[in-house]
Amino acid sequence: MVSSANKYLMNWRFALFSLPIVVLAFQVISGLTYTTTTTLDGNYFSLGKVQLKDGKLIDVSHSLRVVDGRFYAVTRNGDAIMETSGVVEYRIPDSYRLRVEKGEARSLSGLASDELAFDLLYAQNEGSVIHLARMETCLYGQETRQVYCP
Amino acid sequence: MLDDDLASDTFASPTCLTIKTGRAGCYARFYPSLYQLTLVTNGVEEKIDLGFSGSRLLERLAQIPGDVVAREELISHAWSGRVVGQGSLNQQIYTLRQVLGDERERTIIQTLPRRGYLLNPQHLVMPEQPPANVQPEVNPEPALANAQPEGKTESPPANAQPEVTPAPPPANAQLANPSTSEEPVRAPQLGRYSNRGLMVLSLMAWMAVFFFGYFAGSTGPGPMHGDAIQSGKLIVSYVDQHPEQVERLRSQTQWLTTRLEQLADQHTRLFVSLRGEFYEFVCMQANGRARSVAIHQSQLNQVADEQLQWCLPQINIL
Repeated sequence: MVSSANKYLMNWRFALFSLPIVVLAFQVISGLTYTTTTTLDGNYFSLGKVQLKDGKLIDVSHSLRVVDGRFYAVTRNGDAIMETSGVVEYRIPDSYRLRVEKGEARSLSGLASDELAFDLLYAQNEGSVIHLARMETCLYGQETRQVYCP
Repeated sequence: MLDDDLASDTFASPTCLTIKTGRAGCYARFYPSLYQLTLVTNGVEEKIDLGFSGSRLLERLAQIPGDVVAREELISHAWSGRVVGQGSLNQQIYTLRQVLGDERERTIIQTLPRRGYLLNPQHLVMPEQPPANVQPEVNPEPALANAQPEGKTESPPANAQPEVTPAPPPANAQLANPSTSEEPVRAPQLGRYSNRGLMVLSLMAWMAVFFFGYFAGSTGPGPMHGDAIQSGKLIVSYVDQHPEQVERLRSQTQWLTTRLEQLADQHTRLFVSLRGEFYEFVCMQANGRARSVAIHQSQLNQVADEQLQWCLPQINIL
């Protein structure tokens, strides 16, 4: 009887100890991988100008809409337009990124700067990721120099 | 060999031995007749079934604590009538050490190379009588055990026990448990910890879960890192992945930031970075938005005031 009681007590102790370990392990494992997040849901926009090597000035605009963790973005560099869509992902502790699932560039030939064209083409490819950093109230796409403000 | 058996069994086997284990505050009560050992830690008891061979091994060592018992003698005592290899003895000794928390130090059951093993008498607390409810079965005629005829060709281990003699072991002696009312627990690892220790560990684990969840609950991306410098009405952050480049970036854009400072009519947050061949200026607006001006490095001295003013927040915009 005493032994049985000890056995059940042992099970309780085992559960008491193992449950937080399991939860912690789950947290750590989930922290190592990116998961879709709706934290950034909303509309974002910004305007800009680029003075090219030849002195020519072009207008730039960045638009981003995030709905249920999916993003739809349009970037305009002069006449060149890039449309991308994909998912917003998050990883512990504060790493956010846009993962492109579909992208399409138009009128890239009108873009005089190879560097700007590369930024657009980078975001065109499926699977490419754009890491986001916080710039005051705005988001900054580190790989593509896109500024998104709420 | 049989003579050895008889010789070894002429030593008195205690009904209960208390052994101080290698774990702090943990004592083991060994009942040879039950093939059992009870670990007692802070009042918490845990029964461990040693099996026939393991129990007989410990029993033989305990009969002459401090004296070396030869390997052959141990084998014949623990596996009487059976042919086993040296590996079986090694395994049983290792198991006993594990149970006694002695697998690392090896101070309780000591190995004497090429001689045998001995039980350290310093770990024997004192013989005690077993509790009434687990009183081992005692051979009602112990005298018969001691009166084994010398010429006997077979020496069953049960009958060879001098004082405390278990019933003859069944074929599956490893599973034998004379106490039918209580089921022994076979050395679960957690049983080695006290309730209090486990509670503390559990509490610490839950706190780790809480803090991990708290700090992991981010509401947005991490900030861009850069040195913020107040310059007139401008608060300028120079952003570069390489800290050593920040000063260079600052000196290269000094002329432009000075112009921006002169043009600014209100406090403005400005981010300056160099991306490839373009210097980038991001001016935060009062409404939380931003405007950016990217300038090719060859055009750094060709920037018109209009562009800089366009970047800066205007009073009429607010």
